[in-house]
Amino acid sequence: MPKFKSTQDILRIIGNKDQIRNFGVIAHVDHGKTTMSDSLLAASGIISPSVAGQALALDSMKLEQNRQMTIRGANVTLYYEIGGKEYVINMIDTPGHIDFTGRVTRALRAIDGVVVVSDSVEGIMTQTETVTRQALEERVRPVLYINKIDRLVKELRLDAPAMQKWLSNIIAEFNKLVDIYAEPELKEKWKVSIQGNSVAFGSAKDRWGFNYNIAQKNGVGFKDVYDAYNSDDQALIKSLSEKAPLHEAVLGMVVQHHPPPHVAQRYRIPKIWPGDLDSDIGKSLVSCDDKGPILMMVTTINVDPQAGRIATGRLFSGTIKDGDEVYLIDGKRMGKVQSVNIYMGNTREVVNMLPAGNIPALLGIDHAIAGETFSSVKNVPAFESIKYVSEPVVTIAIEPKHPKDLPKLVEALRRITVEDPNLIVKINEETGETLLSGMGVLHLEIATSLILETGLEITTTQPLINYRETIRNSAGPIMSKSPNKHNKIFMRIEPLSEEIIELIKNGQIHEDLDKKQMAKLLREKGWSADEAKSVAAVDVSGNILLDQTKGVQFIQESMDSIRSGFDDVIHSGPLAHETLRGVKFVLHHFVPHEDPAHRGLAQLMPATRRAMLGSMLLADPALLEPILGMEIKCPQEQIGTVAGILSGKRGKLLNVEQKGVISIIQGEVPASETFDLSEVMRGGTAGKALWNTYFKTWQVVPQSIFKTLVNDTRKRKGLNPEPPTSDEFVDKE
Amino acid sequence: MLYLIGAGIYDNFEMCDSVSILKDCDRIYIERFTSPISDHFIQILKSTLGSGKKIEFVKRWFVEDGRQILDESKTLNVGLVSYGDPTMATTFTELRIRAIKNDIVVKVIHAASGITSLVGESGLQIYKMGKIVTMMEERQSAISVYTTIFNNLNLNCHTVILTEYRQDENESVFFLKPNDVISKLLDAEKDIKYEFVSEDSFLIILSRIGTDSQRIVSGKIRSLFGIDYGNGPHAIIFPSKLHFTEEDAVLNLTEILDAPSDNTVVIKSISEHMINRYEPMIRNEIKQIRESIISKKKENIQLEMLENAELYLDDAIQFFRQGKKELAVLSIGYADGLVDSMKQMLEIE
Repeated sequence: MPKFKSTQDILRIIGNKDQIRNFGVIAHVDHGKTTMSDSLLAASGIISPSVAGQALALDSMKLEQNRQMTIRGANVTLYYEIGGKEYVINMIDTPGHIDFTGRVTRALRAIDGVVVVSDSVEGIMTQTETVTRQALEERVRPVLYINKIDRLVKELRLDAPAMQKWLSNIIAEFNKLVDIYAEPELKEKWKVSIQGNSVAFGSAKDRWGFNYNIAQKNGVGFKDVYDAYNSDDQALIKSLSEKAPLHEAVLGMVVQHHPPPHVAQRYRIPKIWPGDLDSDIGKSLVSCDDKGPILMMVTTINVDPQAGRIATGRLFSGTIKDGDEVYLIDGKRMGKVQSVNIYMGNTREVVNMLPAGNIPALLGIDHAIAGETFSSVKNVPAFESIKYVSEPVVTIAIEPKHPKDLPKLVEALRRITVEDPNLIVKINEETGETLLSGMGVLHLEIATSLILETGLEITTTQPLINYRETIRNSAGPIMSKSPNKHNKIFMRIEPLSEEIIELIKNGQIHEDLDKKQMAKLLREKGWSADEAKSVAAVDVSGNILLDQTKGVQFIQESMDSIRSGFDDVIHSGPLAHETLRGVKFVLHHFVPHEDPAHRGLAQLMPATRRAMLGSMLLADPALLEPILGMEIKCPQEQIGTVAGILSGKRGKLLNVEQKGVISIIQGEVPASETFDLSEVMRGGTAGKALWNTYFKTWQVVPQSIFKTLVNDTRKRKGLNPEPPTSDEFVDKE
Repeated sequence: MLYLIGAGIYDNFEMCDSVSILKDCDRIYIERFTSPISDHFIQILKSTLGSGKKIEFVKRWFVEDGRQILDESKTLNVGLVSYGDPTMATTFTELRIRAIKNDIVVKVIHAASGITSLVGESGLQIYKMGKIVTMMEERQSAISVYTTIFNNLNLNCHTVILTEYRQDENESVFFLKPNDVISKLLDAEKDIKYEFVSEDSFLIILSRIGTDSQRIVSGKIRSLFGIDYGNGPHAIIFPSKLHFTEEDAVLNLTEILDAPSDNTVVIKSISEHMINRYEPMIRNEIKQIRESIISKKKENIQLEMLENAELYLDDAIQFFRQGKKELAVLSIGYADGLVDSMKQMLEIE
């Protein structure tokens, strides 16, 4: 039965930090995360006053309907009493999939403990292992819940002693992970055990579960489980859930083993926050001080049709109130908190203020994105520096099955791109297709599954690899004329150094940067004073336009039109109409027509385009392909097979490291070769290799496939298969 | 052979020479993008040439690209008909030069030009015209128009402002309206502040010159703004100081809303703007520095430096009164430099 607590009660309880817990759930798909979370919410959830009335009438059907919210919600707050003490427990959504985007890391920053859910038959799976490892690296303490115990009886026909033996193998397997990945001083303390009450068993579907303490106290054991499922007697199964309700088993472990925020921050802050621990804010963070400066990390952004953007995250220091002004450290702007909310159950309640250690949901900060750090003081280090736009290397076209659903699709895309800035949506203006780009095939699979979850029917195309165009030489100055031949643009180009591209990618150099500061940064990288102060445009894909004209008339008025030409070319290079990377265009000289009628956008934009395309074609142009880094874990005897698969896919094996019984292989492979990687890898290693991929770098496409690739890409885009020559763009005099 | 044929500016112009030439042409192209040629003119031309002659209307890109015209001119007689006088459009001159470089013989048939006609109709003297400039719809073109007028006024020259004309894809015609030109000039004044465009500026607005519905209105911006001038083409003249014969002509040739006035009265050269801006600023700084030196009990040498700065400033004003503007700017720049370095030495914000 849900308990009813008023907002005042909750605020009173969280006044004592010992009574707060922040945790997350890690589970492989289908291992029962949703069922368990729902069960926790239904049994021990606090129902907010605003829905208390209707909650009385809540039946299981409606709870089922609310499910979607519990899964996708940023935060669910639970209430639990044990030993006469009251606890407010925040459960934060932790994505179970491999981390492409920082979402997992971000969620892990906000929590101090995790419940790892494992299927009793399947044991610890790849994804669970990956995320558990990340949790351990972030100093998040795990407990283990083994779910679907009924399968051991019904499918494997194990009796009570056999069950216990089987389960202790899973526990041992899990502890092996702790052994490999936890830091030395935490290892022994953080290993889980039945006697230590850090492992629970149960069936989320049937809402029962027990840990050692409950088994002792309530007199339940594996014998009862065996009897219930062996006889398949529903009354016996029901009595299990009465004797040993699931939420008591799980939340009992959470309260006992997961630290309250002020205890956790003492040892977690040095690991997860890059600033100076002896500074005022450092001290306040470590001690979780309500009176210190505000520092909050946003884990999730939800878009509410009424309230707008809601930024939810962990407040590590200070007290946040309605009307507070905070700095968005990565966004480099101010925001004003309209309303401080808290989740009660799965609905939001207004609380006006919250102290450190809690999970506020803030309304009114329109520019917040997930991963942002809010602070009441300027110039403090952020929890993570957001890499705004990563390199989207794979693209699919996506469209609704029924054309009338297009507005819904647009809305769904808007939501997922707000929540995950690494997904990029573009409309192909020629074909009208909606294109979704991401960091890998799997990343896009996850994105499409999120859209499908909303109930929208969509169709998608085969993934296409995004290439980049670059140059390997300098060229020019060359000259191109405008269509009316009254204006001359003189352009020269050279490759942009990797160092400068990095500065652009990580946001240190951007267009709104103060000119003097930009010049200073560039001079430090060896640019001449003259060049460093002449930056006219910076493109986030890693290209720059310099204006090195000297005393040319009308240049100021013409710069917008020239800029449009630059914008056009960087999205559509001469080889295959792909985005440019690493090109430094230098506007060397400009001879305009006297009259504005003859040097408008229609003249200068094409002239600039032609000068840029022409100079690129003279500068040894090349196509770059995305290379994915891979980390593969497999038994030692599979190393040869894995190496074979990699080299068969134009990949490389870079390093092998032995960790316990597992070999960890670092390798790389071109993204274009990864479409069937899963099948090949599984087939080749009999499913014994586990891996994840991440974007690593851009690499010049080998000469052997260059021509075919250019021809194919151009054909696909409806272009003449042969790329143009510089003569088409360069004018003689 | 390539003939560049002017259609003149009259709807019913009889193309004596031109018609016989066009009758000999294997290809006839008409462009209507530099300025509109009326449907009436086309009808007359068609009926004069007879139904056997094909006339092709061509777009801007076709003429600018020019390759087909030049190719055909190598073996055929090609006639390209345009509004006004063909040599007044830079595009045709460019085409003509390319033709010559390709050993194609070019013959130009001149005709009345829109520009000379509108100057003539305004009553102003062609000798006093300065740079011509076009006001486009796009925002930044106003800067060029504004500065061109300013420079012309400083040389005591009138400015002809042509207005944008475009033919869109669907053949619909766009003329920038005189009222828009006026607003853009007033906006540019707010941005650049040379302080010469105001509601008191005197302009001449010329619409549809050469046609039966020609209209020429003169007056101050406050009277001209808001009037509906009808269809294009329109041009505006921003006159400098009028010669008495010009003033007489304006009074007799145009619809007068206000008596002609001299737009150069308010003109200040850039040097004057600079002197006016810098003088009070530097005087004020000198005062501050003097107070700071006295309060900090610094040595006399600094007071001497300050006196020097003051002397340079006085010189600047003196030079300016004598009309030695370059020397005035030079002196005031030196005074400003001295003051700046003293502020640094004394650490004054």
